[in-house]
Amino acid sequence: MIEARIAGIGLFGPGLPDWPTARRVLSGAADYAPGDIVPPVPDGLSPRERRRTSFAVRLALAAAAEAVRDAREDAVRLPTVFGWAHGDGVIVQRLLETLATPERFVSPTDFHNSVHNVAVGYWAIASGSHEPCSSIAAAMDTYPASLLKALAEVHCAGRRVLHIACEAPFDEPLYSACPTGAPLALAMVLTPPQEAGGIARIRADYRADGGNVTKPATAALRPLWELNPAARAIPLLEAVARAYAAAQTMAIPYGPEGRLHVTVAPC
Amino acid sequence: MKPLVLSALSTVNALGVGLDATMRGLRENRSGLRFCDYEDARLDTYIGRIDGVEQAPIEGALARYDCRNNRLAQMALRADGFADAVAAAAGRYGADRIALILGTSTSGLREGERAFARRAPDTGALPAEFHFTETQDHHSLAAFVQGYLGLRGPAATVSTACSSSAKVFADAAQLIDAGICDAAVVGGADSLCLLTLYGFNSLELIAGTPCCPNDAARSGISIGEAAGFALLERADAAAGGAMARLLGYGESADAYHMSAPHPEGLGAELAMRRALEMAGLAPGDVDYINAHGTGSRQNDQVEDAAIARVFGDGMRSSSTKGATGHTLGAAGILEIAICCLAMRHGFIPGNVNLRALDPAFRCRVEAATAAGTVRHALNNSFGFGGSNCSILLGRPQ
Repeated sequence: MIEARIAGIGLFGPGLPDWPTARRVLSGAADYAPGDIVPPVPDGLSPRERRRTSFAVRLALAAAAEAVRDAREDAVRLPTVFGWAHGDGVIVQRLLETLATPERFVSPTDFHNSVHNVAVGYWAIASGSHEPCSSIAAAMDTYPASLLKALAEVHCAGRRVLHIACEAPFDEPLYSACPTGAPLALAMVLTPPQEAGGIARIRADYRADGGNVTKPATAALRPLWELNPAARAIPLLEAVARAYAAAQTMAIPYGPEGRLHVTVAPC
Repeated sequence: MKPLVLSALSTVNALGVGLDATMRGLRENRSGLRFCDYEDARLDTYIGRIDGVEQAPIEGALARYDCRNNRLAQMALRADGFADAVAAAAGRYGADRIALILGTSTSGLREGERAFARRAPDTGALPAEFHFTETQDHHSLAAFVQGYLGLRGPAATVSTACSSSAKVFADAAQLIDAGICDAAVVGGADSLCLLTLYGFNSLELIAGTPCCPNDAARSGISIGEAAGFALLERADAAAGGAMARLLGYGESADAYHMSAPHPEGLGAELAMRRALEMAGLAPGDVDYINAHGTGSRQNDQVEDAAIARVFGDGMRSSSTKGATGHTLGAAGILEIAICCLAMRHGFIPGNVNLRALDPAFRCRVEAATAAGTVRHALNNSFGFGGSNCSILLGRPQ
């Protein structure tokens, strides 16, 4: 079992443009009203690098920047764990289309932006951070897999870690092969449990018990929870948003029988 | 960190299947590179292609996972008694207490390439027999290996380009230290595909000759393919003899550029210093560095200078990529296995294809494999996105 605290949260997706708005939706105080979104251009990059950042990367960096601001932290000091199942799928598909042409004129920029760690690479450049950074995938289990990695790093290194989860949909035809629903990015600054303050305490353990899984209380967000790996965070964020007086326990599905059992408690 | 042991180890690469074949290749200073004969790739380059992959399909209950990348993984699971060692560990700890953390950069992307070459002319749809989740998906490799080994612990894929299967050692060590699991299967696989061949070609990083890392005349990389695994356990809990000890890891980010290394090797230097610090070792305790040494002009120069800043002049170092090719996301596990062989059998792996060391270099790099005691070995793996990882290993006690 690993314990930590949540010191800051960021969120970006249709109808969920930031954590304060999302908190109202997730606590039931406001309706979920999705629409088209335009993630902001990230700070801290050169004009050429800014041009090279795609929708998916901007989405991830928007949530990351909000979480760091919310925690009143300096990104340069934070190790980063990034979870997304499919990387920048729009670029991957464009490369697959190019490779199916007789000439195979691959764009060098597309090629280096096709690596799974593209978002964490741009985040490090934008923040100037030389701290460890990782990029984790585990298909539909990417959220619990990357959260567990981030919590284990908090435990071992005894320091704050930034965890980001993001998923942006493929274009067709890959979307039909792997539908992920609407785009969503969220981020949390996690701190060692002995640090004072924070938004909530969190405790996590893995067990292959095949028990019931916790689905979102917000009915309108259940379709996204089914499709988008990052949306597997919604029950956890609901527990934070609803600010219950008592600890809330949930089971996030992780593998055929595995569950990440997470307890969220007030500070 | 509390030392962990690598209690089982396996490798498949262009030198052969298994640790013995790899060691023979290293001792003979053999290069496994050949002129590119992969599918219909029309590039003037050399590749480290593994023989026999086409004849080793995945059959039975896991047949939907059949693709070149998972075939390499299956070959490595069958090599060196690895699957049997994991089965024994699962008997001791329970299959739910063994984590699985694997690295890959392109997983089964080759199946996506094949699917896009066969789209329906009218609708553009992909062929029905394309199984995205079981092949192209980054996590397909770990899902296949989890099914093959019958593991039930937490599974994850690390995909940080060419540092992927080195960083898995750090993640596994953290999960074991946090008490989430008692042991972990780590490693990775990356297989030849058109994306990496044509992609590195577009960046003008591909050599027209077999790659010659650290050579004055080096002109780029040769892409290879490999798979490999290690079983990590707490030193005091492992049942049998160990291949090596994992003593430390160091990770860093360049925060500089997506595809070019930091010009002063800042991230590389940080990774090596952090690994030494975690292991509580001094630079003089390390007898051999298996360098990332891709053969690109810039990587080798920046890495040599970073090694010299940390370890001083004359540090024994070599790149084995002239023998195996650059196996990208599998480079970490392959070259960690080579470090284990060097410590266990007392030799310094040669830098195959080296004719004249770059005169500006400060490391001691020899073309030929030589006898020598290696108490501690360091492996460097650096990837696009400025993702660096150094792994520090020690001889078993």
